[in-house]
Amino acid sequence: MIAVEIEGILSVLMIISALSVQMRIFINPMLDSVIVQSFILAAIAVFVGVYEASYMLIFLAVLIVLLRGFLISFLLKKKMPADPSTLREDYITTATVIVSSIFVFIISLFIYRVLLFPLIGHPLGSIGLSLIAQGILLIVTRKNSFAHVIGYIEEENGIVLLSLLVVPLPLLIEISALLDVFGIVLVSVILVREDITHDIFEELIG
Amino acid sequence: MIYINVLVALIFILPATLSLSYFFRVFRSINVTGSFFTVILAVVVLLFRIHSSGLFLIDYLNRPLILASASVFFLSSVFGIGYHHRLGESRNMRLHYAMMDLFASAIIFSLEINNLGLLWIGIELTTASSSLLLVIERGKLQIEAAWRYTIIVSAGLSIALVSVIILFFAYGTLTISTMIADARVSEFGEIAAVAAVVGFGTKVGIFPFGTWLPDAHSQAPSEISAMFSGILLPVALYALYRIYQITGGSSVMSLYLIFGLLTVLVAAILIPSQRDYKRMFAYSSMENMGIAFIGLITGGIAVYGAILLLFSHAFGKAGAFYSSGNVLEACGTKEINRVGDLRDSMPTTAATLTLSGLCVTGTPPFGTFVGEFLIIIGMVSAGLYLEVVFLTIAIVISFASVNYFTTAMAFGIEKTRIVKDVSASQKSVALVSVAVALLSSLIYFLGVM
Repeated sequence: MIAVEIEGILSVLMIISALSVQMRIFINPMLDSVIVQSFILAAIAVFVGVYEASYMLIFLAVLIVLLRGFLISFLLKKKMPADPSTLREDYITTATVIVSSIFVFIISLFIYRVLLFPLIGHPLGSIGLSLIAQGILLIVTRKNSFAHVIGYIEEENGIVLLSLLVVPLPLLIEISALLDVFGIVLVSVILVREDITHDIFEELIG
Repeated sequence: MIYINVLVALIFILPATLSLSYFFRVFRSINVTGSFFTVILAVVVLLFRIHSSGLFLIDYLNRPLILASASVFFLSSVFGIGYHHRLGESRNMRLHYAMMDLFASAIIFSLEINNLGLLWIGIELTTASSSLLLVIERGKLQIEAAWRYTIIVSAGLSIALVSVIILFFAYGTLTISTMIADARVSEFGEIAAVAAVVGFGTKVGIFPFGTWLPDAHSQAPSEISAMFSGILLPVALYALYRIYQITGGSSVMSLYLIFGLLTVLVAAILIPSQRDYKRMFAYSSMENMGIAFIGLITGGIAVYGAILLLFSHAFGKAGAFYSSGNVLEACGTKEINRVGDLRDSMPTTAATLTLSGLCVTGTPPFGTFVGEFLIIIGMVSAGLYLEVVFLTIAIVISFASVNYFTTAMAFGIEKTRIVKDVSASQKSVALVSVAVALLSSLIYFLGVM
């Protein structure tokens, strides 16, 4: 019972971190929020690993901390302009973000409750699904490259959480997926250097 | 069994090993030779009808796709030599070839592996390895297209991973052959199928998820556009079909049919309004993937039609993009209206462009025609009459518009100023590609498939 409560508290912290990511207008604190989220995810992996006596999950937590907590954040921060305060989203207001974020959160909880909960039966899986939705929302509503990458990391955090709480995938798959995501972020970081915001190009319409 | 595993593994290990050619000055020769041997191995798998359901899943479905992937990889390796000759032996060029090798390896790995989780990882790897292939010319448009490709496809594929998780929860295994043998209609399967069509559908170019496709295809170097269209999209479609084999019921079939038909219709509507010939061919790829998707889910003889369509389309569309690359290099423009009378100035390219246009729109005697014909027969047998009507309308629209544009470019009165000569190797690659597309229906009639 206590274990379920601890899992619940950690999962709610994940959602709070997701809302914190959404509400940021400046990119630097947005990145910090997603790093915190990755650390909470690692804590959940450690907890589930200890509870189920699975050293593999603890190993997964170490990888999450190393790759998402340190390496990816280091790479992204290195690519940011010298003065990070210049990096901000001017296209969207905080009020719009809060309302749309909460709306998406409620919709994703509803979808999980209606479609997946009767089959899976694990209530906390809904947090994973809503985190995925929050990541997609961030990608769709922002024009800044860094915000897109952060949204993608958040989406992947949601998938790892869903997998951890519902049915942990074989470790080989989990680790390969983690490295794969790292590869995508690495490629994104290379591309982000060239161009920071994304506008409409006439040649790319039609 | 061990020999079969080694043979099958070599087909994706060899391209991965070729990426080490980055460290050698003769990287082009190494790549061409190595990719040729990959084709030989794929031919052996197809001709000897190698079958496996252990570590690798090899059957009637993926044998022709493996050969098409290896062949387009080989042709693109040769084409790139002439197309990027001005880059010489630069680091950029070496990196381009190394990434192309990893890209081909990831594609073939995804086709062969008998594990749904690893199949997802293979397809995600194709994104990581191919994003940088778009930016070899480092233009602002190329970077934007590469960015859209990376973010949209990766975000979409994450949804596909949700489908994998749900299926693992339901079946307790990720071995594809075991899951297919245990296939059953369930609510789990239906939810997984929806997540899969959003996720893998993004990569296939299924409407409305595949918005990245025309941008990436139009901005990529031509040999990469050929690989994208000819072999990358079919691999994602292959993954989607494997999930359909596991989960398919009548409700999933209806849903997938709607997505397939919408994709074909939207592509057919958009093709006539295109001004850029590479974008036009990109929309044509969407249309062909939609038709193949419909064929695969219809079942029966339509499945063989879809496989033949994918095989023939791989070569036909590769030929179209190689020809487009030659036109772009010679004329310096991607605009359809500014290219004409290629018959006089570039007779070989005019021929390959016209023939590839005919091929990708399902004209007899190309394999695409036989494939589409079998799909329609299959649909009629399954009682999908209304769907056949919509499909036929879309096929006619795209046939008329693609061939109108390619014929205008090849035989139109607009005189195009040739600013640069195209190398003989580039023309030969386009010619070989179209010739294989022309002969591809033999594969079906000789019973090799």
